Amino acid sequence: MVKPFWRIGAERSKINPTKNDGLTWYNDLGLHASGEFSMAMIQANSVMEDQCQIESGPLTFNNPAVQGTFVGVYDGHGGPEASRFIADNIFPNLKKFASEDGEVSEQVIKKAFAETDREFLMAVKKQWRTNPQMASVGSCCLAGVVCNGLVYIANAGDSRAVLGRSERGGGVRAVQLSVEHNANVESARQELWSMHPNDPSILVMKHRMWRVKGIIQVTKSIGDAYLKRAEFNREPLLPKFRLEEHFTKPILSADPSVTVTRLKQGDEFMILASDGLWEHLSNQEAVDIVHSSPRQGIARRLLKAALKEAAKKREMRYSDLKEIHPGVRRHFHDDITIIVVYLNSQMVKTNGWASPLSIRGGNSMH
Amino acid sequence: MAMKKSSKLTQTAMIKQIVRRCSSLGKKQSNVYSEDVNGHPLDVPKGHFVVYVGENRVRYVVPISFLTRPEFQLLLQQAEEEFGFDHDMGLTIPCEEVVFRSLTSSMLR
Repeated sequence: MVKPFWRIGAERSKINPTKNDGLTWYNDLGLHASGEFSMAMIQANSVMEDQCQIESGPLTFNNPAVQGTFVGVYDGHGGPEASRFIADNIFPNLKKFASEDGEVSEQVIKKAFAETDREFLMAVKKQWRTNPQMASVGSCCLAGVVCNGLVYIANAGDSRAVLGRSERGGGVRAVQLSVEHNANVESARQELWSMHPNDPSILVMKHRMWRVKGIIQVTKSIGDAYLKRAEFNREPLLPKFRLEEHFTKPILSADPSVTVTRLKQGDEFMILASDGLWEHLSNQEAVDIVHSSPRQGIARRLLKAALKEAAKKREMRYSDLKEIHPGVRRHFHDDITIIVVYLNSQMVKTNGWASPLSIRGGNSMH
Repeated sequence: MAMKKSSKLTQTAMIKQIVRRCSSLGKKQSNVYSEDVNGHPLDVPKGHFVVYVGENRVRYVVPISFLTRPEFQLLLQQAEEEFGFDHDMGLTIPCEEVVFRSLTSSMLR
């Protein structure tokens, strides 16, 4: 049953503040422009490299009629600087381009990715003398926008967005909305080979995994300046990041794959998460958990399910895994970020009645 | 004195437990081990986890307290350099078994 709008205010009493509990950060339940949401993160690296955010309200600077929800999951590598930079800049960039065009579109989102990457590379250039290792910092970038009854999913990297869609016969089916860019995905390899037909070493199998130039598994990212411009691929950058041959064409790109889906009545929720979740849970397993559990704390419930799987793989107890310190913990699981976005069909149609909201996750973690 | 003796005994027992070889099982995948109702592997006591050592991937049950020891962290670093973090068949340590056994038994002294 659809709740009348005046009830939504009352629901806010259920909304929880964000909490930082050791290695875990979470917000168990909140309200965005088209429904409720839940967020959870856990740190495994000695420095938390994942970042995330949810923004709800106006999506432009000049037209209050364009309302919606923006969700981002940023899985950094080589350090936290790129993922933090994205969390600081991609949403303002999206608003800037949406303001110019008067609406959100696939083009607007692509421009926001390109601009954020360009700005990060500029920051790398500025710091090149004092901090050259910034050239080897990068981040996957998964962004979702719910606006006008549409959901846009833009992805550069190997995070994933999955929609939970009600089946007629009961149950909820997992529909993957994101396209992945990891060299261990066939389509990502084909794309890279076709873009670099004259480079036989564009993809190299190393440690039983395909890697771009034998170094990195993701085939698209923001940052990773050392694989985008040859000017950053030289000393004093660490030898393991340096390529022997000169290149003129960027090896990695920040151009996201975008899918646009018109939301239907039975589209109940979306799960956006870094690959740390998906290496332990399948799309359908995650969707089944969300469908069959209470909304309050659902992201933390998914996190726990993933950690239990991680413990099983190391043949140990979940209670023991929980005690392992960051750094060495990376041998047991990756940093994990999960955002569950519920889609209230009535609120999706009317484009939201919740008050503006802005939540950052991972920023306060060490 | 008695206490010392008993602690020594415990140590010996622990070393035995740690270097317990399951060589007949060593090459099997982790998921074939039997589990109790909570999904815990039956032969791994609380506070322990499993690593696979050397070319033959021999299975060892080790205490999680090892994770705080620099010597053991060095082994994990070697594993990372050799295999990255993707161990689909259990955490594999690229180190000769003899070396692993002497290192881990010295860590208990």
